[in-house]
Amino acid sequence: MSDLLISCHGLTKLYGHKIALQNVSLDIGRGRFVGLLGPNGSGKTTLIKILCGLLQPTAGDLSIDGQPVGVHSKSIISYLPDRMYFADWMKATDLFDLFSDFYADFDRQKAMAMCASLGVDPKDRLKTMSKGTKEKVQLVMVMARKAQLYLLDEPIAGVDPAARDFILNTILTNYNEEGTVLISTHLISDIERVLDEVIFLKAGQVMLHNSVDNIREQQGKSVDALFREVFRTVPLEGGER
Amino acid sequence: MLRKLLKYDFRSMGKQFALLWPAALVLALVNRFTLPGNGSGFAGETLGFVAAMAYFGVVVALFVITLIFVIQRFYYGLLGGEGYLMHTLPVKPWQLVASKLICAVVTSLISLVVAFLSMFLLMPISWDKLLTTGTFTALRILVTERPDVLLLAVEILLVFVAALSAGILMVYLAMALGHLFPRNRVAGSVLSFLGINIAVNILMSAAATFIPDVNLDQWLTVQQSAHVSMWLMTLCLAAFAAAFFAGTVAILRRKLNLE
Repeated sequence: MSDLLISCHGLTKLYGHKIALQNVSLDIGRGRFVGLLGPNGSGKTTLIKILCGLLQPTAGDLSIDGQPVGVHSKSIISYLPDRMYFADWMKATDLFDLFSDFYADFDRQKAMAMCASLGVDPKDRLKTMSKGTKEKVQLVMVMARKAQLYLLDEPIAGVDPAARDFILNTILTNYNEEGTVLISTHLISDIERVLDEVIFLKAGQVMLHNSVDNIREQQGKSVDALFREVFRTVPLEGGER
Repeated sequence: MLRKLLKYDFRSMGKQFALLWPAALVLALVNRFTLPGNGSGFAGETLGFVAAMAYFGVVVALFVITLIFVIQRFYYGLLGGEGYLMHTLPVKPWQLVASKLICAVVTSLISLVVAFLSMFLLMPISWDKLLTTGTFTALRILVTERPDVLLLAVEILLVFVAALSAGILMVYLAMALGHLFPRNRVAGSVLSFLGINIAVNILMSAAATFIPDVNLDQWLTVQQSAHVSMWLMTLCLAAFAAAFFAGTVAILRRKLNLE
């Protein structure tokens, strides 16, 4: 087992002529809660999709648990995408069957218990569920695994503050503590208290990768405050004369 | 892992066709008894025309729905939203494509069988006249005199399955190529399909020009020649299918771009 869970060097992704990621190099260990922070369009989703094999990098090297992205990496990654990925005909129980078949670390009983506590009937067809309920089902599937690496893409975006607490609480009380959680968001104040380290992404480049303790010690400010400083944009005042 | 993937692809197929296939058969059966003139003296052309139109409708509906199913299961299942689930499963890309292909071929074959069955149900066939001792005797004589007729039937089935697989894989490859377009991926898929068709036609024309015209009859009997032709056709179609399969898998493995 490699000490490093994620190791990437010179990772670059171009969409045509547009640069989505530029020369990203990161080493992330095990048992860490990592915030992937950056404004919209900074490359967070692109990086996560490359890590789980949904996008191919234009250049650079990447290994997960010491191996290139492939069957092994996919077996240890639990991925929460920023969209729904269900087929219309499925019920949550069909998805639990599927996860039980393909992931040795999926705990079906835990998934059923989580559904019960979240007020979701897993025998309902997904097609008939509300968007919020579907998101809960997707969260249940991801967190009912004892994965080595959780890749959570904007799990708290677009929901009200009460739902944010609820989602974060579900993540915090269910993840495998021996594994690493990489959570992307731009809502830093909500998750700062749980983070071990942070990565700031700006225009596809890593601006900062450090532990939260170091940031507080060296910079004398919170991650949220530092984020606002790094990503501050000056509003246009007055316009052209 | 392929077996597990097939389980879910077939489950999806079952949800889609669980009502449609029985409905087609029931519709054919109902039409048989409700057709004008059935048993009331109306004879000949009118009855034949109405029955043929009703049957044609059922076959077209089955064909269109099967085609849509084959395209949708690949497009949405691997290149659309569901792709986020399927491509993060710990399986190899060839297994994903093979599972979709096997399910599509089986679905198409069942639809074909249902279409044939519905034809028999629809047509006012007198089974008691058809299934006489004479029919079975004629079949027995045929099989005794031409024992290779059963082999020929299997060979025709093989050619058909190979042609079906090659056709489905051509559509898959076109969608995979269309997915490489930065925008207008559906249009890209259609253009790719036309492009592949043109390339195949050029290849076939070149093959016809450069490969000498060999008359098998000089070495083989007519019967042997028929068998060899069937196997050559199967091999040729299988080669195209293999090339389309390899191309599709290569794109999913090296160029997957689920934006």
